[in-house]
Amino acid sequence: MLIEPVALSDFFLSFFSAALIILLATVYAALYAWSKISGRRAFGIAAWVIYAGLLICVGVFSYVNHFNDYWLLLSLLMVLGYGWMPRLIWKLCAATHDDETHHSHQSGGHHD
Amino acid sequence: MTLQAYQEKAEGCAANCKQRYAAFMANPNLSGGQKLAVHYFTVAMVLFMAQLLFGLLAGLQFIFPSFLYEILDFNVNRMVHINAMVVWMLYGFLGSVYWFLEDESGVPIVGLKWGQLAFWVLTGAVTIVVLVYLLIQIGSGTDTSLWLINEGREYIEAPRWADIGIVVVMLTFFYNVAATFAKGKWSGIAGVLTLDLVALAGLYLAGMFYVTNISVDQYWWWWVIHLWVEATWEVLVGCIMAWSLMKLLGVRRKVVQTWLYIEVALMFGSGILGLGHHYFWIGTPEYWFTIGGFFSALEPIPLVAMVVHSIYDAGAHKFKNSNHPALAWIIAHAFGNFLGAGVWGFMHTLPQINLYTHGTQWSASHGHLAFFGAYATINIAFFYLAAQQARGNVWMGGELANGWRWKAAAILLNLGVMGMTVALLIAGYEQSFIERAVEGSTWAGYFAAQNHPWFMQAMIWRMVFGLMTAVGGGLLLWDLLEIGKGEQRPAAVIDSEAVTH
Repeated sequence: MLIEPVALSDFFLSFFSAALIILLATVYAALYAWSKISGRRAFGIAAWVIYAGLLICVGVFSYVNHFNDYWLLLSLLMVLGYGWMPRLIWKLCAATHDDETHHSHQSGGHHD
Repeated sequence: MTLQAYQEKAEGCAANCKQRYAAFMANPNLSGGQKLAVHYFTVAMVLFMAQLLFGLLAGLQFIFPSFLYEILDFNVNRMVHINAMVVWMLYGFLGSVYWFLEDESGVPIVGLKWGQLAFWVLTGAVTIVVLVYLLIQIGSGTDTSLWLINEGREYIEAPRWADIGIVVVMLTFFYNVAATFAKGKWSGIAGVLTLDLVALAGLYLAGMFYVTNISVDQYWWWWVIHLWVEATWEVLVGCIMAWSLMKLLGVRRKVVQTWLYIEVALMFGSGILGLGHHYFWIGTPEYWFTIGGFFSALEPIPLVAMVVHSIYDAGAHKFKNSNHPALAWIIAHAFGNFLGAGVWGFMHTLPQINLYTHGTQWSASHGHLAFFGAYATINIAFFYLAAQQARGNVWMGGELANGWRWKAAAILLNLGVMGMTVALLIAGYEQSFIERAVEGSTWAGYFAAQNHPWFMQAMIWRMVFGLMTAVGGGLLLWDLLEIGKGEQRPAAVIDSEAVTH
């Protein structure tokens, strides 16, 4: 399958949407994590808004880069991955810090 | 001044140096491994200054092309600039590992004398290689020049004799690390570090094949460069970071080790196949377009993981730490790594757009921020850890005497590099349009782009921010030499249980 280069008129859109994908993925991850640690629902909603922006960017990026066939499937997998990854990472964070939370309620407890 | 007066002055300087060196070696605050680490850190800082100097010279030659023509040509300045960067990163990494090796293993370094000898051999070799670069600049490449002058591969231009020497030095370093852990305690960090060093040295060997076909040569060359910077160096930095988080923030070993394993899996998983994004232009089959593009898009995921994890840890530990300058540089590392490697990398990695941007200042823009953000920052953090311990583990928190210096150095260096990155991005954007898209990648197109006012203006801005970076670098050097001198307060105490096994 030959790759069709980005049209010159879409050049800016291509690199700008690519940069935004990574930036928004991180902002989404950061807001999600902050909503969990602060317990404030507003951050959770903001995270979803950012994720919606991420979806739009992936759409624009796929369009201007002429993605088709399995490139499109890969885009879909990527965006789902970016959606789930912060959640999975958070669960891992919570699991690895589990003992710490437990010990903080038991003064003098032994840390590993 | 007479010759005799010069001789006396030189002898006085030498005696002074000897005296200072003897005083340093007698420093009771540092272990044997830590003294060796400071040797590495010192040369790393010297090379960092050299990198800045030759970068400024090369930057000036973009604006004034005849500046130092046939005295110190652009190709030489650029080569020394890049190689000084690669080598000071490696010196920093080696020093960082020596710094924590005894603490981590619980025993003195095995074969420390060999490690010290290897340091002097390596430093001597680096000095000779740089002098050869500076003194022998022009001439045809032959089998002899490959062995004695320049191997001709960008980033790893060292002549073959130095290549072999580097492998010997790295084997000595590997022996020091593996034998020390074998004698003392093994930990998760120890296991990952030891395996990573095998991969690091093995990759370097892959870059030593001699072939005349440029595609084959590029194929092997990229295995070294790409997998060094996007796999083995990242893992090495992960190990260094894991240890420093325990020391600085008191994060528990179980936590940092779990994250180290996850990040290693993600980095190797995405980095090895992400290598495909460098195969776009060397005649490999087209399926590499998709594989390289897809796994390149996965490469920022470990960085996203770090963001989530750092927010969790910041919440859990409330930024309590024992060394403010070091923590500031570790925060700079988290952001710089993500922006430089993640955002700037993915912007132009897919072949649909890389067709226009490959080999332009766009690549230089990405390179400046990624190398600084991912590697320079963590090395500087360790320089501050070393400075603190060398002064007797003194206070390095708020109200530190002359605290403005490390803050100003950090601001100037980070702003300077970011400014250069943006200026180079603008230059690369202009090149992509004029040289590639409009002129169709011809020689005429190349020169049209180089002489375009937009390109020249961007290069002037790069120079301005380059000067800012150099001032920041000078301030950093000054601060590292002075920070903590005369400080009597002990360092803040963090959770000592954090560093238990």
